[in-house]
Amino acid sequence: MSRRRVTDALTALAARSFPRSRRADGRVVRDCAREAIDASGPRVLAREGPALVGAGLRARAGVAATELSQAPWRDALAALTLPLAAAMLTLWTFGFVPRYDHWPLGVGWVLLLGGSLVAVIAAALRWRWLTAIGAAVTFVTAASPYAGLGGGVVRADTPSFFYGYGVDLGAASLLPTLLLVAAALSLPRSAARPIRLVAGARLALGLLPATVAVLGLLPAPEREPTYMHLYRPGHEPTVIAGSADPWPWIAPSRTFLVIFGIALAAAMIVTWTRARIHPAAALASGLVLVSVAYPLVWVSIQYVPVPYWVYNGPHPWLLAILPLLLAVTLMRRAGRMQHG
Amino acid sequence: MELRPASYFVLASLLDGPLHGYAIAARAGELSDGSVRLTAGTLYGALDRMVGSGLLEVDREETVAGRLRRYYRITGEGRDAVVREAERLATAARVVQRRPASVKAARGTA
Repeated sequence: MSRRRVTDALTALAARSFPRSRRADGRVVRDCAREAIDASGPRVLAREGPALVGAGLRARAGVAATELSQAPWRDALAALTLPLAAAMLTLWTFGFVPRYDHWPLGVGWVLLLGGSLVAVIAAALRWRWLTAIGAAVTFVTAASPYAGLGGGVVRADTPSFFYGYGVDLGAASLLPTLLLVAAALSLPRSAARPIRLVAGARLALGLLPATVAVLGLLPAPEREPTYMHLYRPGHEPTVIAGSADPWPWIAPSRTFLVIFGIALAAAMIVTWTRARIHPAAALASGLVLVSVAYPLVWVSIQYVPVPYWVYNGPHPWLLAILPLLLAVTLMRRAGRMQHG
Repeated sequence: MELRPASYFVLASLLDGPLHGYAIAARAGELSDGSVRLTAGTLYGALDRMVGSGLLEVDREETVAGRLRRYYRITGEGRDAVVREAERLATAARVVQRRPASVKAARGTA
């Protein structure tokens, strides 16, 4: 193969870094690089090749930024309020039901369940500020244990969700709840209230997942007693069965995770295929995927057999790039479809 | 607005008429005594930015020996910008050149 054909092949390969919509620009830059190589010899290929790839990647970033800036952000956020509020209420229902016999409920649980219930009702009725307040209360309560707050009160009152292993649903809820606050604030200031029938239907839809969860979870199984070893001088240790462990952890409910995973996957497929008609919905499911990208990786590596090293160090963070890339692709599609 | 050296020489290379990408890079190299060396990738990034800010515009495209060339033309705004930059550089240069003793001393130590 002649030297010229080799350089032509390499520059053609480098020009593939340009996005499809800027292929003509890529061809101009590639041919300019070829002229430089013809004039100065193949040694400049080492300079021209990477510069050509860099130009293509910059063009890609520019196209992506334009698409994302054109995406219907406000509409997407507004469309998210009710589904996200319903998902939050369902999550806290799953957390609460296994310890429903612990009365009084405690301020923490009242705020979590009450905040998310208020968010669902207000989102169904398109009440902007009340949705935001309900979501904000839920967020602050869920975040407080991670800020070292609430640890000194009655145990049943402490909304501490870290289970010790598996998926920490409390932490995983924080970004989606913040997204819900943003979604609530993006509702129009003077949004037309839905007519009574529509409002009722929206409210029923919003409460449906949590209601189904309550019906499915009750009655909760008897809790395991707490086993303790009693040591006395001169005696063998004896095992005592104490009262049931009252720690208010949220166990990483496999049922909840499977339902949420199926719902998210279905939402992504449906919104991808219907992005031409409803670009805001595609953007909305992309946003949800961004907010749960890291817990999603954790769930995947919990339930899918993976090598042990994947659990350690930065690997879960690196793996989170995959759902994030998927989300960005969905969001870019929404931007492209919004402007034909 | 202060121009970067590469942008300054790109604009300067287009003062005599429209040129295509490789010709701009070659001319900018000549005008700057080789201090500005632009690859095709960086050149087109700069050209895109300058088109975006109204200093240049695309003149035409033509295919020569199977290679696509895009010609650029300087706009009135681009001409003003390069002239202003030349005056700014000249003023800055005069500050030092008015002191021949300092210049001579610097050349003596170089």
